Amino acid sequence: MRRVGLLAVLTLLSAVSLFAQESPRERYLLPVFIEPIPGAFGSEFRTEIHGLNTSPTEEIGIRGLEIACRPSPPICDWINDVMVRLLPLPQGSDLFDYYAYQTGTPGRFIEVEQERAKDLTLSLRVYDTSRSAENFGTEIPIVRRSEFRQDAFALLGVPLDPRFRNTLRLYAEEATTVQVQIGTATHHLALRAGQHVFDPAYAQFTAFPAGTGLTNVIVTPQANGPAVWGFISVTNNVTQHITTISPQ
Amino acid sequence: MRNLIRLLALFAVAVPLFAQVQYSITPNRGPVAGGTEVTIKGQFGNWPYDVYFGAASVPATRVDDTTLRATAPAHLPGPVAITIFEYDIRLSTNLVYTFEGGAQEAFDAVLLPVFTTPIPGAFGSEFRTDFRARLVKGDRAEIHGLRYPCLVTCIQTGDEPYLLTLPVVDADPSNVEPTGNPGTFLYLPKSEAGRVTMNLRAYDTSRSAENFGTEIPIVRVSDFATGYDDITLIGVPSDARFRNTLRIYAYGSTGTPATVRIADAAGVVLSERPVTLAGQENLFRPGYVELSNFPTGAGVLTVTISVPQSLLSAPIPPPDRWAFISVTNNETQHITLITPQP
Repeated sequence: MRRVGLLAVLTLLSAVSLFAQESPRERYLLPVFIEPIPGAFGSEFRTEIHGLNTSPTEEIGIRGLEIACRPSPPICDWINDVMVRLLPLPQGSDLFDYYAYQTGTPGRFIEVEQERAKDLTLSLRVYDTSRSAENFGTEIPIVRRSEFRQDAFALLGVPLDPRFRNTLRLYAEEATTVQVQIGTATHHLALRAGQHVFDPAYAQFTAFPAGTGLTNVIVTPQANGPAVWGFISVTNNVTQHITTISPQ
Repeated sequence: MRNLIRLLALFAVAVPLFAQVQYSITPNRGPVAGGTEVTIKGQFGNWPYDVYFGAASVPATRVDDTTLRATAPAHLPGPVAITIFEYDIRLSTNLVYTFEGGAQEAFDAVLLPVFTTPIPGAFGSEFRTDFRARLVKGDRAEIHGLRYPCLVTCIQTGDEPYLLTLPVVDADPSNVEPTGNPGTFLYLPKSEAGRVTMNLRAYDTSRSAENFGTEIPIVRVSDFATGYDDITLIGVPSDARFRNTLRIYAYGSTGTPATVRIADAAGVVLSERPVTLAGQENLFRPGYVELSNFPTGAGVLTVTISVPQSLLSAPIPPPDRWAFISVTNNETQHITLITPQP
């Protein structure tokens, strides 16, 4: 009797682990995904995400996005549960309409099942509400995990002109340090660990030298360390217009 | 009479002295990936020799007075001229070597979507593109498809602009000629993957004090839509203060008809336009079509580019495709891009 009971328990355990096995996921970085922030000269920067499921039949679950949740139990667990399910195109709604909290720091990882990834189209844009009549903002690249680099990469043609302020933003899946060479100066930056699985390790650097002309920035990840991705935002001090410089 | 004999004797000596050396190459064809050992017959002295296959050079081994051996490099497909450098003297040979196979067998193709000479725009604006490339790994890397001022040894063959070798020549706007119309493909040997970082930016010279311009993505052909997959661009404004231009690119020698569908946020189709996407004229020039005159005042738009499913049974599949929309403010001329992501 005990043997039969044990066998039943073992069968149940293996069945649970069999069904608990999840399909592999594709991971993307939203480099800037933050709630509105006030800037200089009355500017207010916002990020806007759009997303569409182009499959005619299958829905797409997106992990890593936090949306409005019931205040009383059962409280939704956005870290472990899929909170956003994009319906197939015929009934589809835009991810924009889900009003996901933009709680990136400033970046956020999101994940979808690999087999559904080809049907997901996304768009991420940062814009200044006070200047929306003058420009439509700046597209921010959405970065695949495969685009993170373990080897050195360069960010080319960075202006030193004091009319612009530069911010280098670096992301990884784990805390690490990187070497950053700006012209002839070398800096070592520590990427602090993320707070949860969707929070990238992150560091930023703003102490660019001022001068004339352009410089190149070389980012060298730690040998055998996690892969790193980064970009520079070049912001005009007067118009607050942002240009990105990313590794291509 | 004696003078005539002397003259004839002098002529008899001079003719072989100035006669063109006859060269031969065996084999005279091989794969684009390179690696084929070739034997060149001619007249050779005790100098170091290099052999240029088109614009790509390899060192040669002098076997004897009449024989050189060299290994063909990776090269884009097609016939190329063989040039021999005897130390620093260029020897033209009239020889041709043909690289066989598809470019994709040995090269990664990338698209520079906009790479044009300065274009005047509205309100005194002048749009320029700024392309840069640097070596970040290894000691050299090749980029096929860039034209730059040729000083000494660069050689152009067929459709191919000069081969740029980093870091021998650094690619930046001071020395690279924009050759796109509007876009162009570049080719990087697969064996040198990860060695080069590039950057492309469009900017308005008349407003360079106000903004640094717009980064243009450099797109791997492996990120193009293939087969009958749609390209979808979302979050497109229909505000009349902005003008939208959709640019569609093709990689492949055959063209294809396509449909551009513009829908509003509720999925209601506002416009459906047929376009013809031409095939590539040569390896570097993409098939291209552009479209403007978007609906206005319809909120946020979704644009879908589809290849007709009726072509599913066509013997040759449609070319791979990529597209983006530029959103330009009518007053400030500021450009925002909307590209297929991720």
